[in-house]
Amino acid sequence: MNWASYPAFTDRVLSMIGIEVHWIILQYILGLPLLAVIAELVWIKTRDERWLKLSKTIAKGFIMVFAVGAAMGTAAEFGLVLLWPNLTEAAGKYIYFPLYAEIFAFMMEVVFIYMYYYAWHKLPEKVHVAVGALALIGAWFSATMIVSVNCYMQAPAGLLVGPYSQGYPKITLFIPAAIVAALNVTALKSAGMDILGKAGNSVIVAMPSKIVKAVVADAFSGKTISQSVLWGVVKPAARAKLANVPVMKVLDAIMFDTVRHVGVYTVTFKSPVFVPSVLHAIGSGIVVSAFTAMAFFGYSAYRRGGENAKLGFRYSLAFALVSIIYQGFVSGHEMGVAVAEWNREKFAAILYGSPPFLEKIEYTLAGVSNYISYNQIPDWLRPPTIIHWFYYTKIALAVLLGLSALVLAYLVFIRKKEPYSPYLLVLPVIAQVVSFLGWAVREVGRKPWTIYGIMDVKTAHTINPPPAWVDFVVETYFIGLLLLLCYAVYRFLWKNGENGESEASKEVRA
Amino acid sequence: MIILDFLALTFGLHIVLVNLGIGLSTTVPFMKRAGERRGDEYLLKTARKLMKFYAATYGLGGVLGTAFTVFLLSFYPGFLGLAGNIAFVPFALSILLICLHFISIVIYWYGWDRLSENAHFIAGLAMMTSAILIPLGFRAVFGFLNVPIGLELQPKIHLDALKALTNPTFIVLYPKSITASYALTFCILAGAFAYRMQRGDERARDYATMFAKYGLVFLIATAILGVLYAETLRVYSPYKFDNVFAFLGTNAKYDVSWMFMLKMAFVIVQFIAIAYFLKAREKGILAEIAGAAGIGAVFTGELLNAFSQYPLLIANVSGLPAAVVRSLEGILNMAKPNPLTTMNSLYAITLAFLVPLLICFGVLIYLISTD
Repeated sequence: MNWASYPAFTDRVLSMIGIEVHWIILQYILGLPLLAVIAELVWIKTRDERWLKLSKTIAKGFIMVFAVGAAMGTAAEFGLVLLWPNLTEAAGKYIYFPLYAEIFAFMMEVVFIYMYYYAWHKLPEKVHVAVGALALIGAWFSATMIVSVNCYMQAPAGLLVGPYSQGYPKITLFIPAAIVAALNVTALKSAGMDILGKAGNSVIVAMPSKIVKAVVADAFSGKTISQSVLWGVVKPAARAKLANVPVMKVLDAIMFDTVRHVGVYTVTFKSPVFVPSVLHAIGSGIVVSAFTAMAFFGYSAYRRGGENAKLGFRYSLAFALVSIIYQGFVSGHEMGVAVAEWNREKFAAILYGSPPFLEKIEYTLAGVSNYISYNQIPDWLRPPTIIHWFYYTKIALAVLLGLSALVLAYLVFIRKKEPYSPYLLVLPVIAQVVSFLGWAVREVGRKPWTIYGIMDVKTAHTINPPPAWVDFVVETYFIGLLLLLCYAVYRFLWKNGENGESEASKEVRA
Repeated sequence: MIILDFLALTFGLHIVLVNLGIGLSTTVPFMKRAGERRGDEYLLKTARKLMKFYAATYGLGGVLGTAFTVFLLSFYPGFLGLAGNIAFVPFALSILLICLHFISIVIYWYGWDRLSENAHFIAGLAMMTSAILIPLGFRAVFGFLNVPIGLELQPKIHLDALKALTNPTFIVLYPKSITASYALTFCILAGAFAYRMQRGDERARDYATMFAKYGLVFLIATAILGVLYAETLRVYSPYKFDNVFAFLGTNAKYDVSWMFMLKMAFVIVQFIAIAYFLKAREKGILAEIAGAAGIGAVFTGELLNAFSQYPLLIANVSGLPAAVVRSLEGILNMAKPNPLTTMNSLYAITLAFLVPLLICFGVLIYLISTD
């Protein structure tokens, strides 16, 4: 299916650009503090001033971009509220806790990142390193919370997969007994609902996502039970009493009950794709940061020479090599396994059009023996096939990135060469593109869902979408801001450094 | 409800920092410009120090604003869902300006002594203009919450953004917010310079006096606009007016007149202290008191405006059809928060994070001010 044929295309593109601009920047907040703190630790251990200088230079890099990254995060947040208000409302009602906790993570970032920068030489060395570690923890904590919400959107806790002919995918729900009493259970069973057991005053059911989706759509469009799909399964005796009850009330009762049983604070962390997703997202931040630092130190060594730049190059190259290996063989693999198991349609779309041998290899790597092909997926569940191209372009570029790091490491650490070149500047761009494509596979591949198995794109969307030209203007504005930030980094961090003393040193000294 | 205390704390602190941000974003570029024109090192150094303070603290102002939004989303998700569906224009306007403001701070801070004087001043003007315009969209939403002018129900519920801008409560509230920002910032700056004056900095005396004068002018302007705002509330949002002015024997449903009294006490202290300082300039403590009282006035004033409509999230819905009001009743009621958030454990978690983080923020301020 064509990616543009799903609802709200222009608003999806705007969300994609807004969030991507935020993601491009925030990856440096996930990775660069790690490099800076470790460099500072080496300085404390060795008293080699070059490491202190290195740490300060890296710190200045992430301090400078942090502010705009944070502002773009606010823009992304409001973008979600304004373009996808029903998704936001559902998240606020049922899975609010990680968003709530993320605020404290964000506060940690703001307080400790600035403290790290402004308190150099004002705090004892070890305390200063601890402040840097807290800034890093804040950034990773923040990412973990946000990714957990996204994981719930990819594969909610209680998701059950199985044959389409039996109504799968299904969502495990805890339905209050009072609601069950008003429903025609036989009719629901014949529609694919399974009763799994009882818990207190609730009946645990596995509800086909087709039904869940319809009820959620009715609830968010303000329908009453008599106007909704539920009307067909309400017992005749209960009809008079329930006819004018908003579907939202029923949905709230079921979802509150479900979340209370699963865990108000833990529901998103119980998504089956949570752990690999978090590891992969943080890994991505480290990869992008390491390749960016390596390229800039390498280019600096090429332009100006200097031991500091060479040390920075070797240091960040080691990070780049280790992180890309980890990303490809550990977290990336685990991510693939999770997608193959829990987002089967997405996995099938990724492989759509692949030669059979490649399909077989991918499924074998993912450890899935009983797999589906794209053509077996019912129309209403099919993701866009463009993710096939996203995925393989990403893999090809990631392999290129990994090989580049390997060759550079061989030249630097074994052959003791100095492979400094302006071409190094291509590597962070490739790293960003790989990261973007991975994220695009994840998000675009979730279509037609906004919350897999629960809420579709149309339901999540605002009832008052902006005109396409407004989307275009805002997209241009975001991209313009990103370019302006790139220029600011070039102008203030790079170009001034050409005059001799590192800007970070000047700043800290000032 | 503890929930409301969290909302009040984050929102109040956010507004204080935003007010300072508007004032500093205006003061710093002009102070630096004056320093450049006169070749005055003292002004240049002072402008840089103020900018350093702002560059380190504006982020927390932003994060507290985000915290308020997320608290609102968690406690009143239906309200934010409704706002998201209808308020694209005002929110989007403010958000785009926030992005511009943040990047202009980066350019202004890091461009110090690295950009030409004119280019740097232009970056400063962008910083100032964006700071002044950010509240425009948010205050339009506040005006809407006073009385939903611009809310259209046909063919579907939506907001007529231009009509919303004609909301009389917004027309007064927005300039009042800006003048209050300047009154607060200038009083605090007068206090800061007075502090330096007491420590033997002779030039600080002139600037303490100058900022005290500015502070007084903007305080008077804010007072006039405050009276006008009260009058617009009386006409367009009587529920709020009655709650604020319960001591006048109004038909108050939720008496917050004590908060009004407290706010007025802060304002009076601020006014007397700054006015008296202009007469007795050696008494720097007066300017410092004015600055501190200004913080109290802004904090309580903002909470007064918010809580005077309790428990209604939209204070005056008399112009809407009864069926619509009934259908919105559940989501526009502050007394009915998300049931999943009414747990003591959540409050404990919130305090466990919020208190140490605010203390650490205090440490950050201390570290910056000890140059």
